[in-house]
Amino acid sequence: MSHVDEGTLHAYLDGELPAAERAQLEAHIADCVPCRERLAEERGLIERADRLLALADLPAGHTHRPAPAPVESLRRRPRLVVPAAWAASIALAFLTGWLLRPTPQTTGNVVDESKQIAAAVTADSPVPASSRDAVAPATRSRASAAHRQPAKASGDSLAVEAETSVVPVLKPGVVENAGRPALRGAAPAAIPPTTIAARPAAGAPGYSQGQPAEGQLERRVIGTTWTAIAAGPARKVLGTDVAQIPGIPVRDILQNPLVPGQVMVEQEVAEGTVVQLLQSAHLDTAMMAYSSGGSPLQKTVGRLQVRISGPLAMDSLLKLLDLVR
Amino acid sequence: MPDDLADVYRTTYPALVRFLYRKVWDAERAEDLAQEAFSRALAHRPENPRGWLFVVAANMARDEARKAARERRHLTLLAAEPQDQRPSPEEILDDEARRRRVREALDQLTPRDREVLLLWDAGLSYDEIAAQTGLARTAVGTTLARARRRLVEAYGSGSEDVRVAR
Repeated sequence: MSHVDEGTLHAYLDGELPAAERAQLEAHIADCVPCRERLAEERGLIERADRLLALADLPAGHTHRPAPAPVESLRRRPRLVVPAAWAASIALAFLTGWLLRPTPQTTGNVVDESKQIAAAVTADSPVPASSRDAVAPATRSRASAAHRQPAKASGDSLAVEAETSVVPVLKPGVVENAGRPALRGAAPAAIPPTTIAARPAAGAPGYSQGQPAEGQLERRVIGTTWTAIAAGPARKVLGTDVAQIPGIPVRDILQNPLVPGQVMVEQEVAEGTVVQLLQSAHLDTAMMAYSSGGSPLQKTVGRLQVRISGPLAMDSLLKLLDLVR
Repeated sequence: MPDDLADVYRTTYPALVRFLYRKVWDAERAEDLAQEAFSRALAHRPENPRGWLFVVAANMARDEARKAARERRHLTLLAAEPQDQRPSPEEILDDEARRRRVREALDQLTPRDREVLLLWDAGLSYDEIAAQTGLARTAVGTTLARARRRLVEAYGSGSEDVRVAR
């Protein structure tokens, strides 16, 4: 074996040399003093380069933002959802037309009738959930998780896949507002049109105290679809009363369908500023679910994990969070 | 994806931010871009989220750098003082000054060498780096060797004092 080139030495030192080559190199090095010296040199070089790169790290004290989850996710995408609904309705119109296509025996009346049906469906946007059921699942490649409702999942999927370039920059303190009262800064989510329609405006008077919307509210939290439940069932899930901050309207109570005994209460402190209380029948599951973010806007009070987000400055939010006892 | 993307987030996010920081040199901006990359991943659900994230992040950082370069040209016209001032001895001990020197040294690498070095430092394997840059796997080691040598040399030639401080 001739002398080892530096690329191979670096691959070796990086632990990236395939086993056969590694054995060859080690055998060679054992006998070759110059190569051994070069190996030591290259090791020193790698260490110096690593040290230099470490100097170019993020400024000390920099804290990472939480994920675009865990509590991601309330993002309205009406302009993405509506085209999807239109696409579905057009597809349905064609399907209806094809099914009712005139056979040789039929008369012109039947053709007219089918056109009327097709026109009625097309004009009806957003499409009724039932028609989305019929059309949307066929357009999805992803298998629907068992816990999701088909209509919900398909609308969601259409919305998500329709998105190519419109991506939010998620940042605590920045509110995305798609024509409704801003709910939360840190969060993209696809809320299907039916859900939006069924939901009263957040923070609206009278929408409070553990009465989530009737219309099957669901929210995606790191890929899991949380379902809105009422205070009664939530108490059953937890085996105890649902914790909440007194005097602040409860926006939603959501249940984690994957982790038994986990409930999240969302309360709107002010318009757009939301406190989330994650409560768990078992403390450790709550910790596990929420340990990934490491946000400063998150703290643990007893068995509760509290997160806050909103359009306010970071320090204001921190102060608010501080008030939570 | 979702659950494994959550895992990827936990294991990769800090590295991704660091990777971006060394491209845009602004911590907040790096966070912005990393968040955006993850949002895109949530929407696109790529098969190999980790590699995908770094590709997307690198592209975003490149666009960002082009924009910054345009702005800098304007600023340079306005700036009366020469930009390349030698740091004073006090500054040398300062993190910020050292960071700047590393940045300048990194700037002297070719884009490909720099990319490979930063990807390796971000925790990607040779295979992942090869897939991402189009290099042959065997060329990754050679590229890394060259990139490391140039980085160390460029940093060392910047200032004698800095070498002592190191």
